[in-house]
Amino acid sequence: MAARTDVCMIIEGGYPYLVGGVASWADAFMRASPQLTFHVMAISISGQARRRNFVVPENVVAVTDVLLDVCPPGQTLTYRNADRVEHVLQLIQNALTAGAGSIFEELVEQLRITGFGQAALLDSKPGWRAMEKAYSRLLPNGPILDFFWSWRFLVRSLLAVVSAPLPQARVFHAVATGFAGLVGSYAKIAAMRPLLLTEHGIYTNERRIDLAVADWLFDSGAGGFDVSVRPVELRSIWLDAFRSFSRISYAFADVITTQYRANQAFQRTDGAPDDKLRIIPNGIDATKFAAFPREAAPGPPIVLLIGRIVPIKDIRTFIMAVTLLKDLVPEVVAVIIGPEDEDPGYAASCRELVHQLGIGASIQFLGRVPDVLKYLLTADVLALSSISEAQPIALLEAAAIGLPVVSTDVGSCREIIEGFDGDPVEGCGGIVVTPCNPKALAEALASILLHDEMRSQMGDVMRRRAANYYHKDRVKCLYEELYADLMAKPARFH
Amino acid sequence: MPLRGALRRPYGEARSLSLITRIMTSVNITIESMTRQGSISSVFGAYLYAALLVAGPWIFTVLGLFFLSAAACDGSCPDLTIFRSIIIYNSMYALIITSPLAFFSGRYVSEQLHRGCNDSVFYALVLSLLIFALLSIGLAVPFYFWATTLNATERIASIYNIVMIGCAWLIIPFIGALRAYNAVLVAFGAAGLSMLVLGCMLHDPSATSLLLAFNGSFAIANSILLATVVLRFGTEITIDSLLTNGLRRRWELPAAGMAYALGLWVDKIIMWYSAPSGGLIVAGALHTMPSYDTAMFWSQLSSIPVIAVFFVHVETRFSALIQKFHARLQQRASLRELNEIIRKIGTHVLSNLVGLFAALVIVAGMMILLSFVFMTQLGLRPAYMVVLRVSLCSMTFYTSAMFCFNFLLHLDLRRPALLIVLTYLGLNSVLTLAFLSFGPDLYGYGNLVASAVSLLVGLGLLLKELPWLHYHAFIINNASL
Repeated sequence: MAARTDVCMIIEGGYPYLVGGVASWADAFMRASPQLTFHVMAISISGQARRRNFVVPENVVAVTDVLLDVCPPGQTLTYRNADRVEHVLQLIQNALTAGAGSIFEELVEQLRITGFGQAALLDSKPGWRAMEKAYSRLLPNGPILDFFWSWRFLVRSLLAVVSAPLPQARVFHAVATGFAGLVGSYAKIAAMRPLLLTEHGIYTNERRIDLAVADWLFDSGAGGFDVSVRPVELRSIWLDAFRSFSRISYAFADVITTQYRANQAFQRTDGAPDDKLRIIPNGIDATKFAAFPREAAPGPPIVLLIGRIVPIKDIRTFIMAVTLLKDLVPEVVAVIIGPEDEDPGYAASCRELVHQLGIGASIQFLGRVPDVLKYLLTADVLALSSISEAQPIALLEAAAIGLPVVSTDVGSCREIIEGFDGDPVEGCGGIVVTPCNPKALAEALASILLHDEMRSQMGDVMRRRAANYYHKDRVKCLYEELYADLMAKPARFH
Repeated sequence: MPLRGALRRPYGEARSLSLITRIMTSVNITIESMTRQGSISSVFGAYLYAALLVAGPWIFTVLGLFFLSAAACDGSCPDLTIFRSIIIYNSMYALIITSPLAFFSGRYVSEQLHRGCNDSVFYALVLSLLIFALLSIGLAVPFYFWATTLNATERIASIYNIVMIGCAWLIIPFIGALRAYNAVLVAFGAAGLSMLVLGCMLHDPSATSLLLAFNGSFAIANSILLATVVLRFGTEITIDSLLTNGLRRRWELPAAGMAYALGLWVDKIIMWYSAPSGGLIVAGALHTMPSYDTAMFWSQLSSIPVIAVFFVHVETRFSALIQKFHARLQQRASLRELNEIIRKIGTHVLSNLVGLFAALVIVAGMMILLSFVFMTQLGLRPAYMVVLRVSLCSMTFYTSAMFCFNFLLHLDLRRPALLIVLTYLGLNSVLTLAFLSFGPDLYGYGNLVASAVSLLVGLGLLLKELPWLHYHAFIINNASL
């Protein structure tokens, strides 16, 4: 039997395989608490490459993969238990739509009793009939082919979650709601240990954006020509499912943390009880960053963007903003740092846009670089064009070294740049603009680049705010206190 | 960044759902398009092509026996019985050994051609022929050399005959996949002509010369068929592991082939070796029972026109409906629309099964009436008439059961299809043995009951599975899962 670990960290989609904000946060978080042992449950799908991009810290005792599209075949269907298939699938349908904690709890119990898996629930004739009923209710007259694949993925993912091997841990820590929260909820039921839920962004909001740009979702025309009918679309089935996952996660979590205040409103909307809510921001080594002197080397002004080249970062808006910025600051150079392999099609479209706009000489795509700090120290301003963010590490690092920022009004960017109620550090460390607005972004960048004194003041504000509120030692203490409280709790379910 | 990959496209393509259907449809559409050309020759050609594709070597064998018996011997050659016994044994052996190979390689070749992968087609043919040759060396050669009292030339001619019949059965699926209907018509036409000419040239022939005439004619047909395959695919052998891997995945196909062929012959084998009277033993080991065999052969031959109608019209329309089902599915139809198509398919299948059964009853009735007039010409004797009538009734049930078998295979429902032929094989064995004890008056009744029950099983399976067409398309036959 594996040794009991202090914390089981449940992460969806990234760590230790993909580089990204949450994965980097998790890596840094676990390194910052070497006295604790961690077991990582990495949630992904079988098609995702599982080549590690992180060297896991020594206090991570094991990494367990939970593949959402791989679930056990389970018990073979017999005449005796065939009638239970419909009941279990009805519970699954309710879990995907209503998302109440009690439904999920009953589902876990029924799956334990019946031993049903893919064979009975998805590949059998009773399973098919139950799917037809779900189709009639969720996507009546819609394309059965699309519903079939969506249903199959969602049911399989639920089965994968409730059959995931759970490590022995004193606390389960899900880094998001969604499937991570679902695994955490299952762990709470099965292992009867406390669940800490940390949300960086709001999962349902991020999925809403993903679904809005998903090329495999489209209006099926199931509502016919009647404009008064608002047909149920596949997109809403997925959104309902993600919202349900959040509700289930909130129901089972002992403590729900987020990084900034604006998120708490969303969490409340999705059913998170007030008494469970806490704010713990991202932490960075502000002391270390502040010690690096910023270089005032002669040369063209540099605008830096750090982020994956994916639609959610809206790199195309940034490229268009640079085009406009060149009219105001002709010698400006834009540097984009971030991997392009996650969405090669989007990355190619960005490069094509640069080519079409004729600004190839002014924009550099550096891809993944080993030392981002070097670029932060030489840049004049950091730009963030995302249409969704939580609390970007890049922004905090820029803040810590005193680099002004122009960011879209997403996540906690406004809080970091302009401060919040009760913030002892007054002043703005940059400019906040509306998302998807190249002109506003260009004008904000130009105003900072063209005014040296303002740039310097903003940098100073950013540095002080980072040191005061986002220092990793402070954040580390907050989490360790939380862990200590949770670990002290006796084993119980509710 | 949760679900990065998963939300891109959480599912595979349903591309493979209708592969089998499309393959079969394309073959049938070729036949049906011939019937639409408007001329009598093209309509006749279509039916002949369908008949030859389904049972070419067997038709040729029965007609060959008839021609050579009538033209060369005038029914009085002393060696004619030996010749007939050898042909019957070889036909049985070749069908049983080649059916599993033909069922499997036929499906493999159709899929390969549909995917545009021609490289390994010749390899599949060579492999089939090689397996057949090895099995023949292991089974047929020892049988003829050690179990029979034939002379050396007769033995060699007999083994040569096995090779000819077996090769024809093995090449036919490749020709079907190629849709080379002209090659089929020319091959069997030339072979038939050759047999007629050789039959007229022979006078008081020995078993060896009859076999050589038969083999020579078969060699002509096989040469044309093989040349067609070689011209199309060349002779390069490209080994494809998918062929052997597919055997593990689709073991039901060769199993169905084996059960189908054994079922067809098992009652005859039982009659040859167990019937208390009417049996004939030649060359030491060749047991036959002319009164039973002749009646059975003629009744089976009489079903060929109805089988041709099935392949030319019924299965083609069935394929078109199935293809429409898959096309609408891919075009994101609603479940209601798919259910509507499924209802149409069910109606088509049932109404045509009834129609074909009625046609088979009419054919059986006509054969009974004709047998009174052409009794001698058909090689029948008064003693055979009871068996002929029973076997004609069996034929109506059995052929209808095989239509169900074909529908199920068309939907790639291999296990239900296997169940039909296994039912027939099992019941035909048990009941034929059981009815033996009731004496000659009930010869053939075991086969009759087995055929009737097999039809009921086939019909039941078809009615059970047809409403689940979407389930089969999405779950059972979906290679994306």
